[in-house]
Amino acid sequence: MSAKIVEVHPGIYEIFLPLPARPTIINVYLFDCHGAWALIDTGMNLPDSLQTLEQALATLNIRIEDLDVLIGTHHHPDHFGASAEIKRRSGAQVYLHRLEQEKVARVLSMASMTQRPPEALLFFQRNGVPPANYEGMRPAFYSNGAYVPIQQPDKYLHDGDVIEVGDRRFEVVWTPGHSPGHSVIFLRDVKVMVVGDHLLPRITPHVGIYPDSTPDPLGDFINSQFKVQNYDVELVLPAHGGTFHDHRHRANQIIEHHRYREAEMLDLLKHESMTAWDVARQVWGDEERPFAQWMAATFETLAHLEHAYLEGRARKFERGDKVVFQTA
Amino acid sequence: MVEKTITLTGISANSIEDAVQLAVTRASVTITGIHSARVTNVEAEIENKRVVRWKVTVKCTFRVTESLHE
Repeated sequence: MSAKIVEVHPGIYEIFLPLPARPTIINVYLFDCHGAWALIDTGMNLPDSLQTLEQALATLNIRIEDLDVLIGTHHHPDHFGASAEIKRRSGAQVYLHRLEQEKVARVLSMASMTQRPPEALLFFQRNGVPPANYEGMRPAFYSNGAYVPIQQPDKYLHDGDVIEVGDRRFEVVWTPGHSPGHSVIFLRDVKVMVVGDHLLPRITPHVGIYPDSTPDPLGDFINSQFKVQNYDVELVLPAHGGTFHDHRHRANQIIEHHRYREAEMLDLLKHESMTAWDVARQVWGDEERPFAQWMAATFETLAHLEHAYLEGRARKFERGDKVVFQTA
Repeated sequence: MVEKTITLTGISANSIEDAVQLAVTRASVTITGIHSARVTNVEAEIENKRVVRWKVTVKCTFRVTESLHE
């Protein structure tokens, strides 16, 4: 069997697809449902990714055309970018959470704009992001064809749904945070959980606030870390990094990580108020980073500060045309 | 029983106590069961005649536990 595909559990295959930037690999998961085939996540719509997927499937003597069901954990390009192509070739039933379908529509609409909308510019300014050539920072996937998602899934994923495919039962667990409709898939009979970006073994997924975000994505994310611990899991299948066993241990580490991040931020804000940008510059300040990464750091900082504000540990107020935070 | 001790430096803009707490909170992301933190050094960073940061070196100690392979 090729090194790009590994059977991680009888009839469950991990396929490693290349990504053009870090993290450099996404794991998608193929399920032999004995009479049908299901795939969770797609990789990007780039030639080397699709070719790698084809080669991996060929080791099992199947083709993309043979897929019957495609489930997207969330809408991001590395997870759902090739969904239109896979749908076109296979006719597979495509599942995605409704909130993720709304995100697909928003990303496609942003990609078609030549300039950032005024509400985004105002959002940057109010959170202290200095003026910059934002248009020069458009994500590559807006224009290189890596993101061609199916615009309307055949069915929406709902929390608690069970999708029956052949002899497999895929249980949907809604885990908002990294993305509002992010869902993980639990196979109760074999105690396997496909976790998308929710529980990564070595890195923590980005959780940020953007103009169209729900009020407290970090609170949602932490609640989702508690939620997955209600399931009895023996094998965790993440989208990046190796498979692992103890999902509760990792979920608790991630919760502790964010508790520490908030403590670090509130320490800076004990005696002076700052914008999310200023806090991000101090928390992540030791490395040279591209401006777009500073923006991502700012929006992740904002997620922490809003979460602390909503739970009464931080104050939020206006200073001039900026929003600033201070420890409560 | 064996204990392990690691050396960390917590940095707080606020106080020595907060610097110790930050070091312990960060260590607790990956280590369980830290039961003591001995402060071995305290350093104040000064900018424009004012203390801007406390850098506190702490030795955090935890019990080494064994995991059985099942």
